[in-house]
Amino acid sequence: MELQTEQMNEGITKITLSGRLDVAGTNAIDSQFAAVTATQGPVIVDLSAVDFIGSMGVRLLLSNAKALGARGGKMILCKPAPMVRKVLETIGIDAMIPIFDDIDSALRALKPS
Amino acid sequence: MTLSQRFELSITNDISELRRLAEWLSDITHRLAIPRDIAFRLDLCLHEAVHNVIQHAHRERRPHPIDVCLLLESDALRLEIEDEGAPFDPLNVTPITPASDLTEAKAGGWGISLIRQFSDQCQYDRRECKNRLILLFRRDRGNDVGAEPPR
Repeated sequence: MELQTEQMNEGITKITLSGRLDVAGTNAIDSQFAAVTATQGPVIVDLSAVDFIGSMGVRLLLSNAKALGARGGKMILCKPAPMVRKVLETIGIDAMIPIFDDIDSALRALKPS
Repeated sequence: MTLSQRFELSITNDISELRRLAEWLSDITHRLAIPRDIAFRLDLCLHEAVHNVIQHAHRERRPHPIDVCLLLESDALRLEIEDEGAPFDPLNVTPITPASDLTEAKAGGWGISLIRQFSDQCQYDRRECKNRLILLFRRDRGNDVGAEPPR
């Protein structure tokens, strides 16, 4: 599992994950993911290159989204593959963390209304 | 006459074995051209079930075997996961209810829920001092996760 970050306009942090969010993959990026999301600004997590997510990967996303929310920030998930999206929807993540199928929609959702 | 194929793997109860398990399964599903959605569901359920065994089946930190069998039949694929750990029926665990609010959401504990939702049928038994979890994946279910409630 690899993690790359990019600072976008208006204080948005984009995290791009690639590989398997299984136990090993989650353990490999756990600390780094938490450090990058230790912000108050919005975070977009690009999941387009994630080909597997298990319960530990879900825990990573949820726990950091909760922590970010507690600081007044917001996490958005972007471009999950169909079966990854099904895992997220089965757990009900889409009711708690917005999921978009493209970056532009995600960026629009983060703009102040 | 129903033709079936049987694949077996024995691993030890160590987290590092999960990748070897995933590669074993991936090799089979690629070679036999198992549809991607079924392969994903197999991968997910196997990962969650075996991870649970590794984390919880034994109090002491000694090597114990976990035996995995994948049986391919004409209408379904069947996964059997057997371990020597303390008696534990994962199907008796009360499922977590999804929250509607992030502040109330439980971050962890979703493994058994995923096994229930992504397999077509779940069975547990205990025989000869071993736990055995049997998961069924119908070939005709396709990508319609959640169409039937797992038993």
